[in-house]
Amino acid sequence: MGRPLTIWEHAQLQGHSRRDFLRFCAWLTAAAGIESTAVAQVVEALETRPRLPVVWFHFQECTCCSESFIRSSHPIVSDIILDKLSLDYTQTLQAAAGEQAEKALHDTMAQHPGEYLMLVEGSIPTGEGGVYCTIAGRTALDIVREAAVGAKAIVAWGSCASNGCIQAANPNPTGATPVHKIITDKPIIKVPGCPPIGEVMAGTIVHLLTFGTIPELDRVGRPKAFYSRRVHDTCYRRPNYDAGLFVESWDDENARKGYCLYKMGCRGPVTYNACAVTKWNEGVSFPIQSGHGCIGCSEENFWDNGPFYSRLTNLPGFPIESTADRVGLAVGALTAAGLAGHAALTFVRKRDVIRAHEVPAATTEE
Amino acid sequence: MANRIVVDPVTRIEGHLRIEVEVEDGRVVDAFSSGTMVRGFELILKGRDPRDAWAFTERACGVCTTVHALASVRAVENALGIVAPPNADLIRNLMFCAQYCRTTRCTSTTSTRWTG
Repeated sequence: MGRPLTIWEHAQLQGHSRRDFLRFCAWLTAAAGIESTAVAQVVEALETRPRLPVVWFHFQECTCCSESFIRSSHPIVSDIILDKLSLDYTQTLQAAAGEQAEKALHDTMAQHPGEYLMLVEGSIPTGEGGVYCTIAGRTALDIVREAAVGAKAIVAWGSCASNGCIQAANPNPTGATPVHKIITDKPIIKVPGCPPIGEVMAGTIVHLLTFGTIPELDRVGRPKAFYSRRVHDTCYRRPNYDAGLFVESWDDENARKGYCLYKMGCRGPVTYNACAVTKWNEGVSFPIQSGHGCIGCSEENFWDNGPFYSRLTNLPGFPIESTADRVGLAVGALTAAGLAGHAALTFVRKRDVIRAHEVPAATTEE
Repeated sequence: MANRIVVDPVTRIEGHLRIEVEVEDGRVVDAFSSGTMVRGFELILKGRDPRDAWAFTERACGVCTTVHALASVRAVENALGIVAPPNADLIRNLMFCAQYCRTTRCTSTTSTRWTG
């Protein structure tokens, strides 16, 4: 066969039935955050679109993104995504090593210019000319610049590639830099998290694969389907927050009752991610459900945002249970503050006039 | 004259590894290994709240995460003279065993080889 195989053709070769395939398409549609009416579109795309050539780079990272990805909960995700995407280069999974691995990378880049998807896991060190990460004798900086030239789009896996993550934490000894600060002329989709949720990663890939377009992104470049809601707003412990029921110490009665972890340093109020909705390990749990506050791993600079167990002090917004009375109290307090401010300003402005009219109390008593 | 064989990158591992071996008359006479990536965790950890240390340390590896976290917690406890209660030890042992089962299965069912 001269043309590259489509995903449906590959699935058939692997022995999957039509029913398996359709069920998978429906799952993909849901995972990608697409409306259920679009299932037919997904089916058609996977039947007709050739496999997307993909190169997956590992730079300054810990492989937790890859680990998360291969645990996407659907049983044929690893099968379909890993086999059916033409994953031509990935140091964690590929059989080839050394020169053969590098040849696979360069063949893909040469044969599919402008077509391949570049997945980047890890930040790129720029200190000392980039010596802090080398592969096959070349710096990560060189490699990323070379590979980006022919890439159709770039996906920044995890917080390392999206914002530098831990190695970029103060004092950032290696000059760790996220991809978007090095490559500025390609579409970049950021999928932050340490690691990102496997289903979120799969969903992002599925969107690219199915529609060949970039999913809708928020203002920092993350897919809106997964990063538009605060962990705090989707957290099942949120009613405790609104009712003022907090864990005050790790071993107190409130901790056993599952009260809100805000006072224990939970970063849910400043973190945008799907953890409280999609959860982890096939929907088993997520950190807050397991009794530990969110550390805010999908947000920039989360390592330097104060100790994890200190409560946040600058919390924006009203709680969901705010009543007109409470809002009224707040507005009343603001009004009082405004009046006091006005009085003070008036005094400053008119103090000369006021002084001129003052009776010197001390002298009259003498 | 020795023949030098270089394998870089070594794949199916976490991290970046380069192996060089010198072969003479069909026998390895010398070998060198280099980890070719560094992030400087020791420098980043300086001056931090010791309660946070485990979260930093476990980012050393995303495959065997838990053992790094546990080792870090123990180091902090040793430094501060804290004795963990028996229930904490039980939970830690369960965490360690769960991770051991998970990572072993993971490494043997993906293409990564289990060599333990």
